[in-house]
Amino acid sequence: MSLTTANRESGKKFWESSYLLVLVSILLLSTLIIVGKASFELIDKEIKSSLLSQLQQALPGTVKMFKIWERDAASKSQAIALDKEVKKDIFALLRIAQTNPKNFEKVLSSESLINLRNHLEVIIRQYDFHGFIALDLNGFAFAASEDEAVGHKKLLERAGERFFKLSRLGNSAFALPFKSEIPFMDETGKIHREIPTMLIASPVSDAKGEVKAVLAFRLKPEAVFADIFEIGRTGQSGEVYAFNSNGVFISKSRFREQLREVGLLENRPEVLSIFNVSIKDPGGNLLEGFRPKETSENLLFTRMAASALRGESGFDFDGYRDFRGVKVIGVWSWLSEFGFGVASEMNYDEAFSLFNKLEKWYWILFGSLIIASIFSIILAVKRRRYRLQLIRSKDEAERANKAKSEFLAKMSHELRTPMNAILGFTQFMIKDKKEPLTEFQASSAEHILKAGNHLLELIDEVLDLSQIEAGKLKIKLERVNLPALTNEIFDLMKPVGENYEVALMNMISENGIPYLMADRMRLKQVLVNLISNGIKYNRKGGKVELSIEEIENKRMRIKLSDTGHGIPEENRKLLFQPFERAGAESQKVDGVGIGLTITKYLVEMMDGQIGLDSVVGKGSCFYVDIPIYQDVAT
Amino acid sequence: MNVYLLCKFDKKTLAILFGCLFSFVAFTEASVYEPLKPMSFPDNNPWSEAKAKLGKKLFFDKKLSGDNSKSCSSCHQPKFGWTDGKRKSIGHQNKELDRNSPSIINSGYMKSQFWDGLAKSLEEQALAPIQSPVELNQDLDSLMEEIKKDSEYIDLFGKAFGPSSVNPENLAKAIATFERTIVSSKSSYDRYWQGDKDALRPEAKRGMKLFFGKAKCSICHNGPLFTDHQYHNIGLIDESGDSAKGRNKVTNEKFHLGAFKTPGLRDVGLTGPYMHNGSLKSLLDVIEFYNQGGASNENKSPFISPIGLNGKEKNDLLEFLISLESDNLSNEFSYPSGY
Repeated sequence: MSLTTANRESGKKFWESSYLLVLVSILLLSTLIIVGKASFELIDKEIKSSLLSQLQQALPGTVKMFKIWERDAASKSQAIALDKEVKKDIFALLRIAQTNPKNFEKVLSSESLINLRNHLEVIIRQYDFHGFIALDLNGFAFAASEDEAVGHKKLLERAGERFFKLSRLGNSAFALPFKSEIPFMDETGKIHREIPTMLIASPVSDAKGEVKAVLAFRLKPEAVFADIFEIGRTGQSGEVYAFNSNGVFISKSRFREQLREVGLLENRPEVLSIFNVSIKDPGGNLLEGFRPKETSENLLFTRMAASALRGESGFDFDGYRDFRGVKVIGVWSWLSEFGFGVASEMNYDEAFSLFNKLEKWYWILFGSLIIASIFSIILAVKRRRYRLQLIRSKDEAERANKAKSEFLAKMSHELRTPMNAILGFTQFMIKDKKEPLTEFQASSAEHILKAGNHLLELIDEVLDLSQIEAGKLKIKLERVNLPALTNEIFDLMKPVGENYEVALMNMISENGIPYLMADRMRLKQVLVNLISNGIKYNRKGGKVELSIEEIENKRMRIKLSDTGHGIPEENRKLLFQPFERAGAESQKVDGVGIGLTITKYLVEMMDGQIGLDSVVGKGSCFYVDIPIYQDVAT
Repeated sequence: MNVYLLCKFDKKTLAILFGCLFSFVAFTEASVYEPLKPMSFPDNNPWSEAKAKLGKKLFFDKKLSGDNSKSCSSCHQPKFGWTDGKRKSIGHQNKELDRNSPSIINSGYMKSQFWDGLAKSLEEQALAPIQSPVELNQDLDSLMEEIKKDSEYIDLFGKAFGPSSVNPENLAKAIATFERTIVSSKSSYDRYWQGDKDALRPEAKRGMKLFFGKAKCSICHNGPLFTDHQYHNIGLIDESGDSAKGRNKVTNEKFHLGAFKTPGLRDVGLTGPYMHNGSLKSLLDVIEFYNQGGASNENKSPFISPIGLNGKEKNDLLEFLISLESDNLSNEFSYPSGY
């Protein structure tokens, strides 16, 4: 009973501990989630704000540099336009053009143009300009460094009228990059049409300060103008570029090779990204092989270009597709002062690579932690269930065995009471002299008595076994005088031996035998049992011999040899099992087969050992080893 | 990332050296001058003298408020450069509103109305403050009833829009037409560019250089009206709340958070206090604000950064801003009778 309670208690504790484990793991995991999430948000915010400032820095820096460059070019242009020699030639050419409005040949062959060209050639080369055009107030080109540029208004068609109007108002003004209206030398030195060019124009005023003409100089946008935007580029994919109001590149792209690979740019060295790349969203990543179904004209502008072309200045850090279809983050501004837009973009993957790495590692760590905790929880629960099951089955088995033992103990007792009556009255009947039994009756009563005694013996044995199994049999170790005990036993067993015609021989001398450490009553029971077995399983005229010898480990071996049939090797193992009767089938011997089982139990309870040697046909020798009594004083 | 910064630093150093070199060479005004064009009127609301006259009467009429205590002109007074001269306007039941009153001057040129650009046109704008419960708090139906009882209005509406034309749409059109007549006239700055090189004082000329150069005002304040018609967060520290969201409330774009419309600068000397929340009292305060690169603000425009103007330069810039004042804006305006 107490054992079962203890089991239950330990089970309960175990349940509580596994419950605690689950709780603690859940708590730990949720803390991890919360802390991880919070730190992510913090890092995300930090990275975004640092990226924002990093990308944003590019814009004012670029604009400032552009302004400085523009101011420089405007100053040079204005200085030339104020030159008296230049003015003289320009006014002369203007007069020739105005007097011969239909015939520009006159202008082309005039001495003033040759003078102007010669004069300007040196200056413009020094200032890194690439040719000049003089326009009258209607926008007609009446003089230029190239003949093809003279005699028409094509320049304004290409370059837009803004620079011209502003110049007429007295400003030095810029025309953003446009495709040249006349053949022109490109950066590889070849002369061809449609190459990108830009203008810086200044008014040419007469002595009264009135603007009479506009003198414009050509610049190559891929030179300084485009370089200005390159300075702001950062990292592996940071791109800063300028675009006009049509959403077309007017600076260089750092991804020229990529653009050529995906076919956005013709694969010829002289084809630049200026004017050849529209900032339109292809709808998918071109670098990954995506090709839009629509033609470029039908595609929509990128998120950046659409906003900038509305005149907005903005940013987007959630990512959007750029003209390559790559997910980027970006900052942009439409510069209304100059009429073009600037964007500063970076591949999303690069911008957030640090964050992504961190996030990946966090998830790996977090994932393995979750798996580990789930695993350990499952293991704990399984172990708990297994252990509870074990405890339950052990409990059950113990309960069943206990019930059996209790039943047997009770039954033995209940059986003994009527047996006493049977045996008692049978003896009375036999011994009653007043009413003697007839011969047949007497022999019957003898049989009853004999069988009854045997039954009682069996009941006693069963009772012993059940008591042993129920753990109720108590052993009381004491000092035992073996010769005294054996004499007692021999006195007891002599009649039995005579009955079976077996001689009993006690070979133990009275003196010099050490005391044994044993339960006297139980040792007696053991020896009686062994002797009675020796007698019962003997042949007529045989003998049972009792002897002793001292063996190692301070033990005494009590040997009982008989002259019976002997026990074959294969039966010896079964000998001490309950209800196994070795050789019972060949011999007519009573018994249920628990005598040796009880004997073995008893010997072992006294810290002894039982064993046997046997030769079939000659006999067996059972021996019992019992510890020698150790006097504490000696 | 550090490697990139190093690379950047190298290029930056070059850029700065480059920049210094060029700025010594530069000697001309870097201004881009454009005169103010004549006002253009929308096709669905063309100019007429009668409309302007009706609009003027309506603009100054207190009937337009729910309790007949205020008119449009309460917050847009001619004598304060068509603002109210207050930090923030006073609305219905004399409660302070969220924003500073914007000037009517040149509002006809603007591409959007209100500080956050919510209204696309003056016609769209005009009816909003009348109905706003915090501003004039007037019900349009009862306003129409009130106007219909006034024979003078019946006459004016008749001349402007034809018979039985009293309705909110025409009321808005009339007010818009009147507002389009409130425009800047020629300033010293215009006269300078049109040949009179003495029109600007030397301080103003230096200020002009600063305006289009070092002080980088012209990045946003450009064109004939000195505005890019866009919305920028200039780094003002604002009260929290819906009105501080600015343009974001209209577009829901993150980059428009705290961004407000760039006001034009013609006649700017008349329209203080400044900024959408009226937090800067004078133009010198404004110059000082930008000189310091604005206050800290998460969404501040990258173009707002410390400038480093000295006292003399600040004064020059102020002189230039004052030179943008119309020669005869206040003189040419005559109040309607009974105002």
